[in-house]
Amino acid sequence: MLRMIRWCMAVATALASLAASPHAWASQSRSYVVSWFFVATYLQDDDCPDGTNPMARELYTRILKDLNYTQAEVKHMLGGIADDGAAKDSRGRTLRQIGTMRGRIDGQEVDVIVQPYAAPDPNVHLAQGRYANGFNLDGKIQDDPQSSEDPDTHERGVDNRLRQVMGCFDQFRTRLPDRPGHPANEWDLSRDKMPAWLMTITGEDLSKDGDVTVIFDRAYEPVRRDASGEVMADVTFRIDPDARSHVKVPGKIVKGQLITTQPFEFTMSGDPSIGAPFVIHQSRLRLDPQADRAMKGYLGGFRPYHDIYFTFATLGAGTEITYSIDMPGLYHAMKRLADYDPDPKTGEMRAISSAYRIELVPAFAVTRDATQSMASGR
Amino acid sequence: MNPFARLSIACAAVGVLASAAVAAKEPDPGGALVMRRLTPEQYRETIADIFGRSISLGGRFEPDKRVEGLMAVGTGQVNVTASGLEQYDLMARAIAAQVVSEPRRATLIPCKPTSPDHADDACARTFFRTAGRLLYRRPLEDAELGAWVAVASEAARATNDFYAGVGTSLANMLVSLPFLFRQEVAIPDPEEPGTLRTDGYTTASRLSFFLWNAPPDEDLLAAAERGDLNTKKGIARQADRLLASPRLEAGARAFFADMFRYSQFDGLSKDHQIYPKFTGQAAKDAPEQTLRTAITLLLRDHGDYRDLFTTRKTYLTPTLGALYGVPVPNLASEGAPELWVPYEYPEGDSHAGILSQASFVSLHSHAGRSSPTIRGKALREIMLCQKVPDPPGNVNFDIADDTGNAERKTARARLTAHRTDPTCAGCHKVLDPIGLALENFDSAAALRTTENGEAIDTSGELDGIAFADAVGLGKAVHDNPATPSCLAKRLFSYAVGRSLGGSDAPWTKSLEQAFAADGYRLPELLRRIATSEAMYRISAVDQTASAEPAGKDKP
Repeated sequence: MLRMIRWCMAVATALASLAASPHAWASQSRSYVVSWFFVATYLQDDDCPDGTNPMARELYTRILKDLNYTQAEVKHMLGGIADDGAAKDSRGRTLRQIGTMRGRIDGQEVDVIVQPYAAPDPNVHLAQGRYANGFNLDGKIQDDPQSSEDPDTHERGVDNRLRQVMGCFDQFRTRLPDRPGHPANEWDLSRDKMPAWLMTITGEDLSKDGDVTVIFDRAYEPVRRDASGEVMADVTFRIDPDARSHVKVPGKIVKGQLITTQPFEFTMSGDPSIGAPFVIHQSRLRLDPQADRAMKGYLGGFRPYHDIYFTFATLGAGTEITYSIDMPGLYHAMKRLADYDPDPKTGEMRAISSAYRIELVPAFAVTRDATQSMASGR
Repeated sequence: MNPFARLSIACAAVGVLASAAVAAKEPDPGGALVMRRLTPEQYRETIADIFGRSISLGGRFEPDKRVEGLMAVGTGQVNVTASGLEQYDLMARAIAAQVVSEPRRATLIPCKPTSPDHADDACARTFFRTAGRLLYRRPLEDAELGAWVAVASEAARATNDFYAGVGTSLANMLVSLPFLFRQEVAIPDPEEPGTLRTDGYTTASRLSFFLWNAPPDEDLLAAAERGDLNTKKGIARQADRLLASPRLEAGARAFFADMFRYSQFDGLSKDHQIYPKFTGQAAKDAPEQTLRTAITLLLRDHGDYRDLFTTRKTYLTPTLGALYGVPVPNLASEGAPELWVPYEYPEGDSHAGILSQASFVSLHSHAGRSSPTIRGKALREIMLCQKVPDPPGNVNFDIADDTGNAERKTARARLTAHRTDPTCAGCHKVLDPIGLALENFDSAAALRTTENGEAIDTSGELDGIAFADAVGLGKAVHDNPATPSCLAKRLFSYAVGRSLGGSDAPWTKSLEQAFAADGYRLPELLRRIATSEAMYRISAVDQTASAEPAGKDKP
């Protein structure tokens, strides 16, 4: 009891100090918690001129035919797949097993989810079109035929090849403000457990244009849901001091928009289904304030494609059969389109340009012992 | 003796003395005997006190009725419906089964039967004498005890199981009137010849439920048995013991939860599209915040009751922190309930006093918008004990509800237009200036300075005292003479379980003066009531009508 009283007194003192004095190392600060984060694969008209990539049933028909199964055998096994792609009986499970083990290395069957290079490149359909959200990461405009124009900023030379890879998979196709199906499911499943990602902006006067510092941290706590099931605003999070999830970068506010002013290395630990660890080279950030105090925008940069691939691979064969994503196809496409970080030995690029949609709501970020705070995004 | 027999005896005693002149030294002539149904909390506490907190109830309670602002008064005017009896029966069977279960019987049944396969009247008698005294809050009459033992015996023979027999009889006892209802008995007052007062056991119950919201404990029952509670000295001794107990907090919480109408939280809902932060947890935490604030200020810090409306000290959870926009880290272990932490709003903050807490501004709002009128009415009725008539049935709320009106962006503008209806103007004139001061808090208690982009004007006045905002309103309520007066009256009404009439006025007036002289301290007020003659005085008027159990002819 005495310990509890002492603890309460300590917390009371700490909270009183939070209320009484602003943060010691910035005249103003606002904190946010990430409420949505995924590859910006927003569709455009006619961006998949050859059609979208096949759904699970069509995908498996092709896979079985490639493995020389007869039409009757194919039909029999496909009867074991439910409409949602789940195996509904032994036929479906057999199909799943055959599909997963369709890789070949030295004549031996191998799991293509784990070793996607063991299957031939199926040449998945790539998204095309003039527009892509993101940033001109390499500074080039004219000599890159695959670069695009950002539909919001109209910046040209935008590098977002990951959108090309993923943009013709139905599960990723949506328009703002909707969220694509598969990522939304994964996000919904993981966010109750995954430590939240925090962002804090500090500067002299955040109501005006000027220089700021942007800091990303990971929290000890996961996000909290509000009555609508969305991420609740104004919740207090304790900052995990782990340096692997700490990013500090200069930025500025221009006409209310927050942008970072130099490329930075974004590193953050997260849930495996979102990416662990999460690394983006040469990152840029652009966020627009919203009327409800939220921030919405994009984080772009070059991301190691192996990290992206194995984020999906953690779901195993379910990614193919439930979400209709041809895993070797995803791998080969990213490998082909990778445009950064050449391997010193082979010269092959190991990272792919990308842009992530990032949305944040106001939060309180406090140090582990709750004695030092950054104010919420009020 | 059947449950009504004791009451009849009491009524007969009242009749004998009805002609005698009542000359109490205190100005209160006393009130009627009241037969009150146990509240859900009192039921739970009774079972927990007697059989332990690990006993689960497994049923639902009938809704209570609020009369004159208090459920405590309403409990004297309710009966048990058929569906309510069904629920009581479900709970009784569940409780009885747990009491006689193998893991518990060794500790809860104070004897061992000669054989577990047969009836054992002696052992059953021992159990029912002990448990029955606690459940009925008085010793069982021989006939009552014999009847319960007989039921146990018969059931044991039918099932070849002594414990099943005891369980059957106990389940029946738990749906009997003397358990479910607090039956009161009057006797001639030995210290004031010619007057009536509650008997020792009724006094024990009144004291215990008033101060602890729980049934009398062993000490109180023993005091009643010895006749100590028929004397002022004996009552004072027990009142002081109860007031010094940590259980006083539970009693005070029950009172404030009743006075502040927190049972309404059970049916409170908010539009989650508009107020996403008002979660189910927020609705649970909101009344708890105010109760913790009140208990700390009034009991632990021995503070002035009026400061409840101005204090900047409170308690918060992370959930409430998000609601109010205050940093409160969650330091509980994963999966554990959130911890409450003390918090003090800085000087100049818009939050001060319980009127700025969600327990008031959220509870007294619409699901999709705030309501200065509802808040004003609640403040007058709950905090100042003033009666405000309900709106007429044909009132047109179109203007007040039109929150999207481009010309009337704020509640003040809409209410100003609404008040042009002369049938509405009268009440709104005394309600809106109070409620508008709280417009900085939306329906979910979140702070706001604008509505539809227009700055909110929170100025107003209460009974001639002007203020600029919610903090000023709190100060005005603090300084309003009706505020402490209301508490004193409510508390006395709560203690005796009846609404107060004109004949109570002299006594309550003297109580209010004493409260002021005591610096508006709650413990002193509790003691003055608990040790007063008024609390135990039974009037010789309208006894038969008042003592008639509600729904006597119903199950």
